[in-house]
Amino acid sequence: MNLLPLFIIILVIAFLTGSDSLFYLAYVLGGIGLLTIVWMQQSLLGVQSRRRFSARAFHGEEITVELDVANRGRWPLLWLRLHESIPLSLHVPNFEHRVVSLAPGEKTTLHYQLNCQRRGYYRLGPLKLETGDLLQLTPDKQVVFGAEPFIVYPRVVPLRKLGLPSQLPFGDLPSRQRIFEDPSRFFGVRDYVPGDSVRQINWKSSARAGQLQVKRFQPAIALHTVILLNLNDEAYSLRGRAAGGEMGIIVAASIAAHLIERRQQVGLALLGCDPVTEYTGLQVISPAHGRDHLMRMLEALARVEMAPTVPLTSVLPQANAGLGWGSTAVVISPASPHLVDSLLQMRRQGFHVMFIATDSQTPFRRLQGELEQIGIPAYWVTHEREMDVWR
Amino acid sequence: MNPNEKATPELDWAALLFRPLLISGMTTCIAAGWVMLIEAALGDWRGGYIIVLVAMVTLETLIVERQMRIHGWFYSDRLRVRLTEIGVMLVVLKPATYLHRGWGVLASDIRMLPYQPMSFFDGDFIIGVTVIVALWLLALNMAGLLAELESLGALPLDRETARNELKSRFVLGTFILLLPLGVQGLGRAWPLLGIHIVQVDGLTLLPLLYFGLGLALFGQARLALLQTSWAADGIPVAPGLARRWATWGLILIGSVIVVALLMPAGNTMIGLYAFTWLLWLVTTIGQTLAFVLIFLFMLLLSPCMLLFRLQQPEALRQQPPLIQPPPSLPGEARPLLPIQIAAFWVVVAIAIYFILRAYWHDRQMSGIWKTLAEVSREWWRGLLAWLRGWRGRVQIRWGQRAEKKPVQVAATPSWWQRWQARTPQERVRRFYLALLDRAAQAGLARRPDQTPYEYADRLKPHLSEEEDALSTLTQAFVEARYSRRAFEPKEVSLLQRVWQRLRSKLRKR
Repeated sequence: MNLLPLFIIILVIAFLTGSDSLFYLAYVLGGIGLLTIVWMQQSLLGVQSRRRFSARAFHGEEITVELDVANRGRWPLLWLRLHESIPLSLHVPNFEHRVVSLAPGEKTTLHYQLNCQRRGYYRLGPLKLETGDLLQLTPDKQVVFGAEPFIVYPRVVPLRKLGLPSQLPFGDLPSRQRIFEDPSRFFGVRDYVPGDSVRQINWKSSARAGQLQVKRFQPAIALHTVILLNLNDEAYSLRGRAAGGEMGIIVAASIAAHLIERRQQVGLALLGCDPVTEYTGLQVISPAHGRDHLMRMLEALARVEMAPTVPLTSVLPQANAGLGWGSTAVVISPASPHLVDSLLQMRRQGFHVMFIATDSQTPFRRLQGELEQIGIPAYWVTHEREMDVWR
Repeated sequence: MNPNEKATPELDWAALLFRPLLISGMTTCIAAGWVMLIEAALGDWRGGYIIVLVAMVTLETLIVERQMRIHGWFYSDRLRVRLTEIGVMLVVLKPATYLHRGWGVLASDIRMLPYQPMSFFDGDFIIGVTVIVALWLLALNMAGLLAELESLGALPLDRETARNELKSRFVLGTFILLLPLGVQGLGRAWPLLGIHIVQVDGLTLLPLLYFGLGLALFGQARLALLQTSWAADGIPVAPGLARRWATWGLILIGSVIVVALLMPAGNTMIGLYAFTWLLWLVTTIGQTLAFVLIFLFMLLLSPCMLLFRLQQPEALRQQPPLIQPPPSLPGEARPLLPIQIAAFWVVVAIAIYFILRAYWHDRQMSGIWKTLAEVSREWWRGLLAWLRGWRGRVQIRWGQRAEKKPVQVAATPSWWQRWQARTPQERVRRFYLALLDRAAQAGLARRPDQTPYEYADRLKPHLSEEEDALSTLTQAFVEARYSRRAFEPKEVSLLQRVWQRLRSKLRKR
């Protein structure tokens, strides 16, 4: 609605006739037009918004978001349309909207629930606010408040009984070789027991004692485990791609949480895409221990997405760089060409390798046979039920 | 606001009462302006009752109109209600004209009525009917446009059209109001560049009040538009928004009006002596033109004054006769006078029309003149359509009586719908809607979930040999309703005949 032509006409007629009424009408029209323009210019300047929520959530949690919108300005907002964009995975529909009116100093709060059933890195918002004047003398005004990050960690399955072979240095599991010993740090000797390596026999002490003695070394090498997760979607089958990738993330998160709980050092190597940095390729988190480190790994697992990238076999050396002899590598990947050769090479390098396939369409039985021949245990986890054997 | 609150149907008091009040207030302002003018022109005549009646009649009509829309009454039912309202209006108006003349005059006139039937239509009555009916129609029209704005089923294009038409009604009302006020204001002397002392009187307040109410009404129209778009998008609206809208809108407009009244008026706004001579020149020309206009206007008004004086002789008003009037009185009355006056006004209107037409023939109109011309054209077309409708209706009634067929309620749209059917697209839509009404009365009502095509398939078995006509009208309606296709007048005439065929077919069921 444009009052300007009417205002000019009435003003001109008022000048011509000198009529009081027409002057007053012109004043009213001009005053309302002017006041509306000033009002609309000032209206959204004092609007503030704030989201109150926990920025991180575990799988299955329900998070309440309280979105405060306050009018700190001096002008009332006749109507204010709020439109908050929300990721569809967290909230159906993917928005929350409302129309309110706010007096100066008044605040309104928009409540909505986030149903965290899918891990991921999300952004809540942006919040779009729209307002207008009484008579639509000026175009409606909009202001957009930015989005805020929100992370849903992947599901963590408690692994109480891994059922892994005892020769693997997997934390506190029953094993003859609980810790590694540094051969450079001689500690003493002890009586020989069957099964001790002949290379460990101290012949001089054995001669002196009259029976076989073996060397003892100070423990010096920490146990490291690195989890390699392949999310190269070209390696997955078409049908098993989505579920397989997600299951791989769950398995990786569960093993990481389990090992951190056992006070072991765990590293993570992800072959996929990070939507935050938009980097596609191998992302490595060096082994460390502690809950903060676990959160770091879970955050990386929450963010990572499947993407076409280089084959896993070509980045395995890079992923294992810096790992000491005897470290454990848990490889989570579908079957791919040259995979067995690469894993064999890792084993020859002194790593304890464990293979887990999560793609339901992968030729697992054949692969498992090949891997067992070279002493690499293989597991096929295509559904959460499969993990029951580990619990 | 409560957490997770959802949209709850709020009592739409703004639509039920506030908007009718605004429209009623606007029409009352216009009535007051005209009453003041007529009072000034006729001297001892008082027309306060007209203002009160306009306020009451328009308010009642608008509230009833909304209720009828809510309950989905058919056109024929609405027509009956409207006719009843007109009847009540006339019955109430006649005694009200005696409020300032005294009840003795009423008794005298009642005694005179058998001998002078035309005395019923005296000057007071004619003035009252003219003002009340004209403003009643204007109020109804504005209410219809507001209802179109509030309609959830209306297309955005239709809503925009309704909003523009509402604007044109507002401007029309402004001119209708400013005309009598301007005529009265021009009669006063005003000093050039003199300091003006504010004198708030009817002349000042009425236009301001009208404008204030009009702007508040536009605010409500804007709210109605927004509410329909929010409802269409499923957006919950916080309770109390309509109340705040009305309150803040009135505060804004009211405060501006108060500030405006504190400002200087007259020619003091200029204040620049350098432009004094130019303004004097322009003012002089304006005054000359204004006086010419006043003269012409008074010239046009003089027959009305004559009528008023002739209809109410001084002697009759002061001394009501206590005995039966002589038989010769009916012969002395001039029953043809109203017809003569009406003829005079028609001639004047035609003359003005041709003068304006000749003036604007080769000129490109724009702005307010274009709007005025369009409004005039629309009114003219509506009037013609109404007359044609009456002619057709009379013919149908006469034909039916001759054949002694059972009388049925005509499914033809009322004259109001005909008047509204201004554009070809609108007329095509009305044909189809009238067909729906007729079919509903024949027991073949359209279900709300049926599309026009589905409904046509359902209706075809009942319209033997007219299936093609039904398909044609359905297709035309869909195009008129949902596309921007322009219909030629010939096409509309063809569709009208198609509709008439279908209507008669349904009537024979």
